[in-house]
Amino acid sequence: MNLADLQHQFSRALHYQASGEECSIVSDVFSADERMQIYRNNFIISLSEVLQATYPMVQALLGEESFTQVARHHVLNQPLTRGDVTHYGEHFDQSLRQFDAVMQAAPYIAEVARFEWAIDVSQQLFSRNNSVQYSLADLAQIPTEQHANICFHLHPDVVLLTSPFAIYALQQAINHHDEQLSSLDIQQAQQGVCACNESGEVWSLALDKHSYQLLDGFRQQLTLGAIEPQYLSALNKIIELNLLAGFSLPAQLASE
Amino acid sequence: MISTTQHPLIGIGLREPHLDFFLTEPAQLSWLEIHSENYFKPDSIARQQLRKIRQQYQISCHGIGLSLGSVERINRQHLQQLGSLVNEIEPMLVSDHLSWSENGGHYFNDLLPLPYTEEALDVFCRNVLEVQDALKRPMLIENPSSYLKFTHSTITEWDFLAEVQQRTQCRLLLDFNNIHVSAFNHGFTAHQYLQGIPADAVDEIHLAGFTVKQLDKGEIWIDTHSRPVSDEVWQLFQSWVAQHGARHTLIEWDLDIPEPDVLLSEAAKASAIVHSIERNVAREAS
Repeated sequence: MNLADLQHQFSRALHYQASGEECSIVSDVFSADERMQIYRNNFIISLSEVLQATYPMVQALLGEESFTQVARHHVLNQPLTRGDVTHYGEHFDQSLRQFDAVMQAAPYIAEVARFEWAIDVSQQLFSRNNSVQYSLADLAQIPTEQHANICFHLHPDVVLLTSPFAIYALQQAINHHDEQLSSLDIQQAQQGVCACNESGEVWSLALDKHSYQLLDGFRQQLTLGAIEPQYLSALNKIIELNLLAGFSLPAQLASE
Repeated sequence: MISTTQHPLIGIGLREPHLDFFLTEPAQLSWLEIHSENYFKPDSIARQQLRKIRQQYQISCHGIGLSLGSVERINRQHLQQLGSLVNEIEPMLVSDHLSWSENGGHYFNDLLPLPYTEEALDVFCRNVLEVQDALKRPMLIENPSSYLKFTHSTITEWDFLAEVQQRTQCRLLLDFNNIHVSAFNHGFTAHQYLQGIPADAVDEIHLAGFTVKQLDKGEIWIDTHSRPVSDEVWQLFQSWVAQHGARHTLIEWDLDIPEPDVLLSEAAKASAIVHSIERNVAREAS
């Protein structure tokens, strides 16, 4: 068997799509497939540990046994596509949705996974090396008549997330071992933001409708003039949260 | 200031739970080894912390994701990220494994075994040379632990590794625990293995613990890096160092990671062995 065929067949065997006997493995005291099973276990456990690190809330809410089952399914169906694991774990919410019993017991669990993935993405995108045209300190120099043309830019790590469940409140209750966990109304929809502080540590916050819509406008790179005026009242709050990297003006205005 | 009880050649694996410890405590060791892939992102918190740690320690970059044994070529993005890390951190050593971990664009986050054939040897050497060309430095190749053999292997692992070294002029990282584990699993002796390895090409040694897995038909030893170094591996280490001299030596612990004191205590054991051998050599020389 040449190396290309062997590695292809071995990869299939790791996914239970071929047996150890089909990979030219020596059978002795242990069968070829028993030996292959050690590698299957290592592969599944190592990537399951990555999922555990990314989804601690999901694991805490599901319990270890159920989490392990879903993680195994995810590892066998969602390949790692890079030689490092820092980006692994996307679409775990979809894996959860395939487990009817899990979704019936905790209908909000896939949303919790979406939330934890947003936290992970924020961390992945963290950077303060941005090249925005103007810093916020330059705002004072922009004439009032040009304000409508200002386009604010978010830090790359700002991730917006809405959910039909109260996932931000749930996180707060879990993190603070809050006694309110039992009285939490999880059925309440929430919207909010995940972002990093200057050191790269992630934080998250539920936002009121105006703040969220304003941020969403910035995410779409709308100018202030193109955003619903009622949302602009939240601008100071967004600036205080340090979510803005700076702003830009259309080229012809910037050169004036 | 380096502790007088620790030998300057002894280091430990830097793992995430210990980043704060090594940032804040006075240095007791001269070097630490990182898993390169965990520090690829230039803006990450981990990379920022590594920059600070680098001010106090020498660093060795140990990779698990190059997939040097894959029939496909080295992933250019991975290599570029490694190169960027190496350029910034200026590690004293850069290493990866005699294994593969990628096929068809899918990675397995594990060190998978190679058939020891002429074809695999050509592929492995091609990939090592490509990495060395890109990094503009020799890399170290570590012997793996393994739990199976292929029917069509025609070369022993130690001969394969020695041939890789000769053809690519790479350096070697000898993991004594891996030799001990594989020797049990495949029925050879550690002595046989070490006889086949060119000692003068060895620049680093790894020491770690293993776990015995009891199956219905017998035992398999698994390289879990979750326990203290076994007595037998300490003996192998002592005997090899007495014969060939000390090398940079690492205490590795990756699962059920204990408090830093436990690792430092294992490092002190390694240090004591090296100090003792060096004292004997000095005594004999005088």
